Amino acid sequence: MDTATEGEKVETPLNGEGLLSRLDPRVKIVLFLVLAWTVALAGNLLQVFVFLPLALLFYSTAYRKTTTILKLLLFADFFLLFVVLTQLFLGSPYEGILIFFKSTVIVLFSLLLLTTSSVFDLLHALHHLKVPNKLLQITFFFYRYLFTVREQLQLAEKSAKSRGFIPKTSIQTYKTYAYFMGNLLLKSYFKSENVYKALISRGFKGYFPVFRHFELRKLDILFSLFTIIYWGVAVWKFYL
Amino acid sequence: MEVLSVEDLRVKLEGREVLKGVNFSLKKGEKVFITGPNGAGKTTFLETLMGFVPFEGEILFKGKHLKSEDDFALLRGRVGYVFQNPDDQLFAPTVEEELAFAPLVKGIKREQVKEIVERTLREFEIKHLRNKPTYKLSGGEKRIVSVACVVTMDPEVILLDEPTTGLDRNKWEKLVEFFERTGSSLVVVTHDTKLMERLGWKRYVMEDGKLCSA
Ligand SMILES: Nc1ncnc2c1ncn2[C@@H]1O[C@H](COP(=O)(O)OP(=O)(O)O)[C@@H](O)[C@H]1O
Ligand SMILES: [Mg+2]
Repeated sequence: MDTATEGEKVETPLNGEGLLSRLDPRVKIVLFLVLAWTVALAGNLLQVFVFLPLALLFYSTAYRKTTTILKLLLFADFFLLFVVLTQLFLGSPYEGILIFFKSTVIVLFSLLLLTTSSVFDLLHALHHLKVPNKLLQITFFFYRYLFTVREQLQLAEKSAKSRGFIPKTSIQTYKTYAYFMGNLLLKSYFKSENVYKALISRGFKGYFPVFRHFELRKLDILFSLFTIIYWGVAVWKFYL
Repeated sequence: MEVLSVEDLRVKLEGREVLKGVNFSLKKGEKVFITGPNGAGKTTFLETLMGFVPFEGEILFKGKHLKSEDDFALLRGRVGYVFQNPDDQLFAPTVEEELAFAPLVKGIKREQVKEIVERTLREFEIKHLRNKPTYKLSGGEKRIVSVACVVTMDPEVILLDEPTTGLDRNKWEKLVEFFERTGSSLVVVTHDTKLMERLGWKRYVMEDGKLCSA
């Protein structure tokens, strides 16, 4: 398959789906930080659960991808379960359960508010929110290469399979996977060198010029107002 | 006898129909070309035959319908595939290891594998590359090694995706000689008119997801 489609793979799972995708990522990032910060500070379950209706409301707007969200959430919860179990054995079950629900709600907010924008848009928004450029570029390249690395691994696997390789527990199989890893390191290295060459040969000077700019619309303002009012009431009634 | 045949093969990628009902069959020892414009679906067709792409329709290997991953795993032991991009195909640390991979996987004894590797290095005149890391090869060298590492598996059928791209005169000649000599059936996707004229095999044209004989 041609590699020309690579750029399109820099994607988040829910980008382009539903109402939340149409919001300005700057708005979503700020609201996410406020909500996540608040939930992280919660001292009891009630303070966590008061934000659940808001999360569910957001969730209901992503009507076409609700199963994707659930799958991602379950995936995160699977890891959180270990935290809960450790806490159970350490003797503070309530603490464990609290951490579990806090994290679940925060992950849910991040899925709904953050992964509904493309990574490029998110980084662009962070730039507007005065996050240092260097940090953003490192993040962008890291994310970009995660996909390249995965793709390289899949290609090596495909190549081995097309020559009759079937994974088993044998020396041959271990050797093959060792090849994959070595190959991955080298290819990633050379690939990054080539991307660097491609960048500077097109005049890259340390920042990404952006073609499409953001503008705050009525929808963004209404959404922010609604969320902030909900947040204000929740904090006033349950936190203070 | 037909080794490989395909009936009404349909493939959708990201919601778009890439193969729109392809019919094709290949006899034992038969050698054919597939040409056609960029993006017509040639690479997708080969990848589907290898079982790397979900499809609708029928793929038969020696009269057996292929459905599951296990069926295709069996096919992959007998049908070789040379990638369009050799960089994607090569993963072993050296050329020698790359050539030894397939026969070793097959469970062939070390002595015999050594013989196979020697013979193939000689056939393609790449003995001097034996200990070179594959990522240090030139474009043309990578290409010829990517063919050689499939040849060592001694397949009944070889699918090759634009195998002459970037070869110099000498390597091109070596490859053509191999094409003429081999007893394997061959499906060669190519834009190389000189190659097609020289060998004069049957030509198919892939256009907009449909395959016709030219
Ligand atoms: N992984 C993929 N996902 C989506 N579309 C793809 C993918 N691979 C190929 N395509 C598309 O399928 C069509 C056929 O591609 P391909 O088989 O590589 O063409 P060819 O080899 O004939 O040049 C092209 O339009 C290409 O963009
Ligand atoms: Mg192609």
